[in-house]
Amino acid sequence: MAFGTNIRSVGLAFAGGAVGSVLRALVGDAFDSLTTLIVVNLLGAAFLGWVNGSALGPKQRFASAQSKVFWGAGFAGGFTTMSGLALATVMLSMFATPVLAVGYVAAQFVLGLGAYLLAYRLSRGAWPNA
Amino acid sequence: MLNSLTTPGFWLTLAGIALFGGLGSALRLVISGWHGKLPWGILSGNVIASLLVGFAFTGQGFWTGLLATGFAGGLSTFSSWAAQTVHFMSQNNRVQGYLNFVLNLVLPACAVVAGMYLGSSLLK
Repeated sequence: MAFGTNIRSVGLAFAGGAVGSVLRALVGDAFDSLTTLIVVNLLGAAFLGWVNGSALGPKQRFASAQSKVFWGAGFAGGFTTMSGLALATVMLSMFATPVLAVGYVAAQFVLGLGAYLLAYRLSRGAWPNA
Repeated sequence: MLNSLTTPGFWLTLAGIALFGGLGSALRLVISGWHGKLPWGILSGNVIASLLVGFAFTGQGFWTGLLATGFAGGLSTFSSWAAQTVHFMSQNNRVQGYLNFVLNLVLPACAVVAGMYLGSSLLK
């Protein structure tokens, strides 16, 4: 997934990332940390799968480089967080048990891959009348 | 970090998160071009962001919150990691897929611990 890094692309990533980050903070205000991470990372992974799959679908939505940068690298990237997940892993291993920490992050990794793949496949083949 | 729609700092905090999150995301786009056998740019962004989160965790206040929630959150990404890992697996590049899985599982967590150590040494 290589994007051109011209000024326009950087600006689009900035704008999408700003929106995604604010939305992540708002979700974080509504839920506890562990629930927030599950919500943002699984929804964000599914959203990126939907964007990438749609670009290859019959209607080729999000197919332009600008759409991919804004919605994919920007919005989905800003909405999801690996650093928050890493902090939660360390906190769980310190204040709960290492087994729980590894189980939490590994489950989120596997579910995240599944969410991406499911959305990708659905969007790639499910645009007949849209 | 956010409190309530009615508190004076709410909109300022949101604006700060937007600014710092946008900057982190823009930086991630730039470094994502570093892509060899593995997506090293994205992995580096995740590790650096985790280091910053660990560092910020040892401090208190508005700016450390913006650094963690805004900049580090924007710099790191779970969705691109998922896309790349699925891509490796679907291309039958299983070794790269497993490596991308394991490295993003282990290195960011180690970076958080390193950041906490740095923060507790430098901020106190």
